[in-house]
Amino acid sequence: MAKTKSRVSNKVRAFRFTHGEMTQQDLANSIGVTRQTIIAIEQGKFCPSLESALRLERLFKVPVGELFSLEDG
Amino acid sequence: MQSIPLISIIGTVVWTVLGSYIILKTIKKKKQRQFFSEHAFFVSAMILLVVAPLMSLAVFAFNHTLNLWGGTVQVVIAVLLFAAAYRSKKYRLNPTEKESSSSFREKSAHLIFVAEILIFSGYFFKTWNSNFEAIIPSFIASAALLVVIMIAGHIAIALLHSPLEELDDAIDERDKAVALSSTRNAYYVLAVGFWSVPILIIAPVTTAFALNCWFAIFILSDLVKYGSISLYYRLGES
Repeated sequence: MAKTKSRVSNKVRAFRFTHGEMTQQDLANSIGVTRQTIIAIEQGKFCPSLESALRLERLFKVPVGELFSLEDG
Repeated sequence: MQSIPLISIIGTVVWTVLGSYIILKTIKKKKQRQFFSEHAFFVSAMILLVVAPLMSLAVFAFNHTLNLWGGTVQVVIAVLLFAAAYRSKKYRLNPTEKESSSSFREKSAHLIFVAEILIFSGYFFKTWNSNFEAIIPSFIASAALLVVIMIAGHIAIALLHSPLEELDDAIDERDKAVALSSTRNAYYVLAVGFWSVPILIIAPVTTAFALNCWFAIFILSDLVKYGSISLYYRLGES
């Protein structure tokens, strides 16, 4: 099976701003990670675990599919 | 036998009196309720600086040789404590500083990587083809230097990190993922190297050389681990 290289992009930063202009530290505290992890997620350098993605879904009240999307490279 | 120059004794006495006066004057601030954390760092640094020459003289009195090693360590730690005092005062006066983009763990990995390269490249350059008599003192000196650099470096990193509260952060999923991938990379080097060195036993090399090769494999795998951690934190782990 040929494996296509894909990349996960996200709108965490946009939702953070529309959600009362939350700081990265506030978001980190809400989902139980460090501020540097939020920076890495927003820059697309790190894909959060399913648990953290579901926490983001619950926090922003949007489906995970709207927060994260798969882009074929 | 070496003798202590008179100027050193006079200098130590003058410095001890002056240093003690500064320490006592700073501690007096406590009564005036003007004693903050920066003063605690400052007093600790001054105590070390006052004790350093006294200890060097005491070591000389017992061994009759000049040994600057103990004094050097104290001066290095004192300089760091002065930096802590400066940082502490800055933080007290302006608590809303710019936040660091990299974590303490990431900076720690950079430090370990660079320190190991510097120290052990010198060690292997010096001892690569030596016998046990030459290797053991170099090994002990390198290990001691590494410990000193680690302690001083980590204090410096902690002092430069902002905000200070982040130093208490527990490891999270990204830290675990980075550590796991980096340890895996290091394991490949360790496994291949560890089982390759016994081949040297059948080659005409000394036991000291073979053991040094083994040690080099351990250091190389450690470098791969901390190099990978640095890279994964910067470029992303996948």
